[in-house]
Amino acid sequence: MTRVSFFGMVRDIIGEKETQIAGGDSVKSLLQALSERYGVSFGEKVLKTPERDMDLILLLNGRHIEHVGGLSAPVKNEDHLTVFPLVGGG
Amino acid sequence: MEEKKVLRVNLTKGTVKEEPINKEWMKQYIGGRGYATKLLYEELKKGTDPLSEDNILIFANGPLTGSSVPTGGRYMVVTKSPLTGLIASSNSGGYWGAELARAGYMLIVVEGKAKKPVYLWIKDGKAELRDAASLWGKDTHQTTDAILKELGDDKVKVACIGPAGEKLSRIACIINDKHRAAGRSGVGAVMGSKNLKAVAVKGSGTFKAANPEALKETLRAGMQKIKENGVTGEGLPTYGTAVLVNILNQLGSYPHRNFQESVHDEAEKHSGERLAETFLTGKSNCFACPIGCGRVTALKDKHGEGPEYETLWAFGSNCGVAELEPIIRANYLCNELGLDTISAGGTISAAMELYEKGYIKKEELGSGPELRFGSEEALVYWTEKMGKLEGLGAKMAQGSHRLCESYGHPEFSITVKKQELPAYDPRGIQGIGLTFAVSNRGACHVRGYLISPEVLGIPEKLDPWATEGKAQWAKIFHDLTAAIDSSGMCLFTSFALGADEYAEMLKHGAGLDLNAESLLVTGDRIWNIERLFNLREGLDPAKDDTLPTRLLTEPIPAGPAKGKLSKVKDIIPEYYKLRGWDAKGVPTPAKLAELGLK
Ligand code: SF4
Repeated sequence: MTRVSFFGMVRDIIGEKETQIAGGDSVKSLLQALSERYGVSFGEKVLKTPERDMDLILLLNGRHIEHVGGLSAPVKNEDHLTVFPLVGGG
Repeated sequence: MEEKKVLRVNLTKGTVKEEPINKEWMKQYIGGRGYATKLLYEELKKGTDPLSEDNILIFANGPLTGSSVPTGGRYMVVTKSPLTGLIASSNSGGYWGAELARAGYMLIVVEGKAKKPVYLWIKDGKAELRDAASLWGKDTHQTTDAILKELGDDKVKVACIGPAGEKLSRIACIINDKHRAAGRSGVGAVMGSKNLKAVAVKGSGTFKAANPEALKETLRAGMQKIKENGVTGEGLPTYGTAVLVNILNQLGSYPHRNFQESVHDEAEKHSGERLAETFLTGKSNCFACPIGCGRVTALKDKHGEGPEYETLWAFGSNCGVAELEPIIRANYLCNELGLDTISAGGTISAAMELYEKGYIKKEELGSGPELRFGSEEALVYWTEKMGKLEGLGAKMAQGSHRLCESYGHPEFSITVKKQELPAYDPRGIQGIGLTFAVSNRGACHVRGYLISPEVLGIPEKLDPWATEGKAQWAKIFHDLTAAIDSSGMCLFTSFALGADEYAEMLKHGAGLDLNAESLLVTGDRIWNIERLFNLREGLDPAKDDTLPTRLLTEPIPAGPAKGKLSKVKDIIPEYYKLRGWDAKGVPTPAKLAELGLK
């Protein structure tokens, strides 16, 4: 089981702060598993496209997935994925 | 409306007079930050004591302040800083700047010192100094209300100082519209040193664009970009800046306990998400802003605006405090008493470390609570003492550098050029560390917000741990930001807009012949004149363009960025070179000639 935490409006859309999910050995398959679990709310509202929406910030163990292999980055059981909407500020 | 003017106020003589705007300077420096720095550079005598009557305090709109361009309501306060001894250049929003523009002025240049407290009242091209004896000692909210009452007009906009500025705290800010701050570098103390309590403005003019038709088209396209952009169209309006708390904490670059750590296990408790569920009551905008990132909040006994991300961090994680309530309370106190929240938080945090390590003695606290990390009581109590300069608070009100020096432990002051660091750990985010190190006004995140590419991935995702390419990114961000700050627009538009759009707006709005390229050259010129000002005031790049020793030698102890140190020393030579500076950080004659700077 991989721990997944949600923030900002992603949290509002799916109505949960955190979950444990199995079935992902990569970020991509983890997102697919999340889509199956949360259905329309995750797939359409959060991901928006089947591939990946650029409007998300995904951190795997505190590293942006861009720097650890992107969507095909390997995911292990003890890993932690955090899902943020694209936000900003200063 | 007639062309805008410069209002020159001499407080020693008690005179106010108008001057025309220098058109050549506008071409070279736009307005706002750039124009005011040029003016200060030309007029301020080298070595002037920032708190003496010889210092010059400038309120500067950009040419687009008061116009309908998105976020066109910003102004700058430029002076010699009593905190850093270098250039101070603080930006603020709200409605005050736009009102000043409607009253017919682009700049107010304040010289001298009044014999007794006064305030400046400007209405549609007329200005006078009025007695402020009854306002002295009042906080910024009381002052604003009293002025509106005295003038019998609740539409008047007021920028003023609180007790912190009056009593010359070197981290005092200027507050306008009750909740917006020209926050950093102690500009409020300069106002206090001149016995100038407030500047009240009212105007009825309208903005006249150089080319209204072309501007309309540019605005339509710009507004669409702002609406469609994920940050400016959705993220900032929905969550404000506070939503960054969780992101930075999850990255492990959210400084905790005076940068001794960089993860705060309880950050969620003061996150933007939690704020939205608890104390948030509404949102607020600055003049002409389609984004509206401001947060309106309320406690049981008080209401106000904020806290912003920086403040949540400064009073929260950095002081080890988890809960929102005391953070909000400290934030309100800063707005009322007129203190910069980033420097106030950084100073309390340093004081906590000094106390816990035994350097500040219990006897020095008087009847106040112990300065321990995580103490909500200490946070609120010592913020108030600092804002009123009472007891140990008077010492703290001079900023962490002077506080820590006085105990013989400058290493606990997490500052650059004596100014406290903002809410990002440069050990885990290398590019922002470069901005902190070389920023002309001391540690500052809004001189080149590299968090945008390094954390958020805008306009492209850069690895925060890498140093490669960061110097180049920093230079472009620094130059672009200098131009935006000079235009009268808000930096937050840059999530959606680029140099092309700003140049077009300045061209059609203000009649400045700019394109993307010349806009960046203008930014480069502004950055360089700030640098020249600092060098003239004794800046020593070898000693001053760096980060606190802790960030260079003590690795982040735990979390995702565990083991990381800032490598800023490796990036600086490249940055100097890209800037056209010599290895010592001094602009070369060729560079100065290229920019038309003697
Ligand atoms: S984005 Fe926020 S800070 Fe900028 S002008 Fe709009 S409300 Fe003010």
